[in-house]
Amino acid sequence: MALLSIADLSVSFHTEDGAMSIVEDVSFEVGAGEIVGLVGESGCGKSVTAMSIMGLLPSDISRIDKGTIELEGKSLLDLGEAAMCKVRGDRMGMIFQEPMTSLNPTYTIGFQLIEALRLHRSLSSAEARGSVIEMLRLVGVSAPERRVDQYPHELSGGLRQRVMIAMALICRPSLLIADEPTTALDVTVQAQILELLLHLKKELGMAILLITHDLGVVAEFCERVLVMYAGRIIEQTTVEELYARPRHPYTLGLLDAMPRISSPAGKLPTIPGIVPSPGNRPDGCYFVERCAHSSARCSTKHPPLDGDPPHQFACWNPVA
Amino acid sequence: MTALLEVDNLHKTFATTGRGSGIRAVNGVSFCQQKGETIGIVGESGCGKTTLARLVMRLVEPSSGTVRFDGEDLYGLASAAMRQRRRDMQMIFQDPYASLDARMRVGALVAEPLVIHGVGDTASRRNEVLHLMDMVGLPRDAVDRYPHEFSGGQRQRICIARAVALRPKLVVADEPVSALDVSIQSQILNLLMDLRSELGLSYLFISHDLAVIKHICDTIAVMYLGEIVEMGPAETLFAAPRHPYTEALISAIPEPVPGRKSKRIVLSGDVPSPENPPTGCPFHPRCPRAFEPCSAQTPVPSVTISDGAEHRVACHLHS
Repeated sequence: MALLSIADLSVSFHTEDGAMSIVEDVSFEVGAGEIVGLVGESGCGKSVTAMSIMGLLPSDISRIDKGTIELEGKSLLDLGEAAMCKVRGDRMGMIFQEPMTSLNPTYTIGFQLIEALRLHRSLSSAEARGSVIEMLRLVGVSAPERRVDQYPHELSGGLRQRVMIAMALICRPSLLIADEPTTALDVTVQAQILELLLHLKKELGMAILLITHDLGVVAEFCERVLVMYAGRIIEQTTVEELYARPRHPYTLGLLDAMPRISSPAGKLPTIPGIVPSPGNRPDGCYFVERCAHSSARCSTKHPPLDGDPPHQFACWNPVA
Repeated sequence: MTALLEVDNLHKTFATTGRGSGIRAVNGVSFCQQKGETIGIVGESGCGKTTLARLVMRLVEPSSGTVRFDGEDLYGLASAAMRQRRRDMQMIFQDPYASLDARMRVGALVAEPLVIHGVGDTASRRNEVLHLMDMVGLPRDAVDRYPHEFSGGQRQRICIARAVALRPKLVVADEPVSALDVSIQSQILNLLMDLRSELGLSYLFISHDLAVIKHICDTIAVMYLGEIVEMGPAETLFAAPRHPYTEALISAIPEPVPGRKSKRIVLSGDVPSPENPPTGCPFHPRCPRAFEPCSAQTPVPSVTISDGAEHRVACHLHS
């Protein structure tokens, strides 16, 4: 049984301008201890998918239209808020892009970490403080006995992200959702944080769903990868297979458009046009207007996510 | 080739409230840019690359040092003369959402530099604006629309049209593609390369992204804590980096090649604060190859010539 299993998830936003479908028919699984990458450009629905799993969608404007989300066999969408609070932070943790705005500036990091722990475990404050210091040490914070009483502003960006990771992992969850965890960090600090996540995964055995726009990070970090475009998963496979034999023209275009250290200088291949906004998605395949491989069928009928596992893609005219 | 830009021993220290000697943002930077050359300045947050760009544009005044543009000392110019000079030097910023006036139509935005410098009359400016829109790949009907109607990539095209409207000699581009998605980033990089050959521009291109820098630049300068630690031709610098920081920076970039991770050099710690920089070599506290002189003496840059171009490195390993 998969640790996390999502089937036919569709999410829409309802604003003054009417209803907009954001995520459409998303299905995937994450196995225990697996690292899965969810990649795509701004607005492709990758963060909304993550927020749906965590039950953190803004309830006033968003609606889950259909689908199921199961964690360890338990259907998350059927849980009430109180029951969801027991799962969130305990069985699954999340880290965000911006470590500065995710920490409360008016409390010490120790206070915030102890709060996260005592919400789920009945521990005395001395015991909790001990666990927190141990966790800070595990995520590579030097002098944790001293750091525990510091405020977020006293820490650098890299240290704050380590504290966020400690907070997400304090109850030893089985799933960590990391939403662009290194995007706001410098490249040398990014390398440190990715190494840390790999180390913690081995140490604690949790699965990681890594949300990112960076195909380089995915290649070095993940085992399996899901590519999203305009609210849908358009290709999924193992990391080796995706980079060696991308089948969807969008995946190929994305890989080609990336400037690389190893590629010669000069003109870069591009994907013409821009991603269609949620209200303006075309009929048929959402990539049709930007695709060099499109045929008549592409603009009338949606291609299903098809093919022999592990490599599946949603395209009528896949790249050979 | 003649030098377009000569930066000599430039320093900038920002005053801070309270005790301390201030924030040392740029510390003794010197380089020379030829006409038609694209120089990339790369470094992590807080290394002083944006301050350097602003010093070159004279948007901030230096603590000491000189910048000569086309042979003329920029800091010696009176404000009216400086304004004239800016015709030849224009800037593109990182965030195309913040750098365009939301209440102006695109036509007026692109025409603004022409109006400020009194180029042409209303009719000829209108034609020139349409010509510029073609040049940067914006639809002509965009002239009567507002910035909010455009995506990030298209807004960056508007900013580029403004920057090249006066046919400058130098364009300082500060992280021009950092806010854009990969598929849009490549479109904008290609446009910048096209304009360079079409208009004979020279770019001073600032970025934290080494892959982007390598793609567009002839020469690369690596900055760390306000200093250029290594500078040389793009190909040489990547093939044979000489400074341990450059080496670590290159190895830290995640490449879309599964299984490459084993070669990565992971630096410990964070970049020190420019408010309290270390003694000696600024990189020594994080350097995997530091030895005795590194913490005591500032390394003197040593220059080698490879393929007829200068390759400069400030490191005790090479002195």
